[in-house]
Amino acid sequence: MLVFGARGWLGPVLETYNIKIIFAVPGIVLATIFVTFPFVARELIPLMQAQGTEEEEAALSLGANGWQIFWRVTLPNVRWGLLYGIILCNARAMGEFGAVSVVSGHIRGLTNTIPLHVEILYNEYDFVAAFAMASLLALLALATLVIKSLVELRMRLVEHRSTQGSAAV
Amino acid sequence: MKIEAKNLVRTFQRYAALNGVSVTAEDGELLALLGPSGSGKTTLLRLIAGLDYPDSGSILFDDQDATRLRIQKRRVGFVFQHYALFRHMTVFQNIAFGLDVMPRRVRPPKTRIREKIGELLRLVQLPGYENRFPHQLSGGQRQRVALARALAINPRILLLDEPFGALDAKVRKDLRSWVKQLQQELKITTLFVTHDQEEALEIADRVVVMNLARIGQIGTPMEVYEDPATPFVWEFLRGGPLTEESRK
Repeated sequence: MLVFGARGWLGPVLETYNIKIIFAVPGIVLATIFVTFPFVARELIPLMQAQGTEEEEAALSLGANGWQIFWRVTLPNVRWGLLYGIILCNARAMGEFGAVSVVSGHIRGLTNTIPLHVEILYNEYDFVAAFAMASLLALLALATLVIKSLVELRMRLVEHRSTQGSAAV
Repeated sequence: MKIEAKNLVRTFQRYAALNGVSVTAEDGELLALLGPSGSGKTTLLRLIAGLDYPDSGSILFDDQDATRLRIQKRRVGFVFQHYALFRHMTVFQNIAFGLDVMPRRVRPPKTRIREKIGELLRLVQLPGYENRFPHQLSGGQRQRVALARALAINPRILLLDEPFGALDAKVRKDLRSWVKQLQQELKITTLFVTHDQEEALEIADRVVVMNLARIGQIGTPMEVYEDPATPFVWEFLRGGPLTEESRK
């Protein structure tokens, strides 16, 4: 709000170019990114530290440039961790209430998220609809949980494989 | 190719890893960098590879200054202590990596790459292993894949960091005489780092004994063993302290 709001630092500039951030989809996305990205980072940083930089150095010595190293070596090595982080991130984003509530503006069908919709319905005393919505959210959460467990299983397999590999040395 | 390192200094924070080191490796020579851990031998290897840069001093490749040359332009084959094979790639993809990342106009065609990898796998005695993953290979096999991968880019020099360190004794012996043979066949200037005296004395043309960020002595295995320049070289090569009695 402080930066992008109508009276914020960038507010006048945004207004002259007719760019809407607060009370629009970009605002929701920004707010969500802000509260969820630490999940991805927390998943990836220890993983990358554990893997070290030898493979990247090997790629360097073979003549690869930074871009090639990132796409062909670094990213594939963390792909399961990244996916896991994205799923956690997604779970957090689905249920995000506070930050999004501030910036979204609650415009139905345009800038509303499920948790915000539950609130609106509840405040309108439309309990049936509110609970239906909440149940939908709970189902989505369950689905996410299943996917998360699958990825976890897969990660453990990969890990097992690489430790088994180094044990054979 | 001839490699010359002149007066290299490299300091990490306050600790000197190399303190004025000069070495020359003649064309086609197999040079061992021998020393206890912390003596600076791996740092020297990394400087020559271009994985790190010296604070002062220079590195010459065939009398041309290469001190600030980027690693990608040096065309060095580097084999890492733990091989650093790309774990998500097959043996084929691993070896082909150096060719795949070449700019399109110099990259050999797919059929040629395929041929070349076949040749390299025969060279390292692993024909038919194209579709294995690194975790399906033994330590010795991985070592040979790493060597094939380094050789795929037709390197001008070969640098091996503790190449036999992670292997058991039996495999180590077989592999080192095989590497020696291969190096003589290819006539490629090779430097390898080791802390194992026996290994250095057995296969190197000349041995560089390092201690405390400096060079203790450079010479043929015979010279450093029979005529050590300092008490340290004596002790390190014979594995015991220098006493009055052992002088005789």
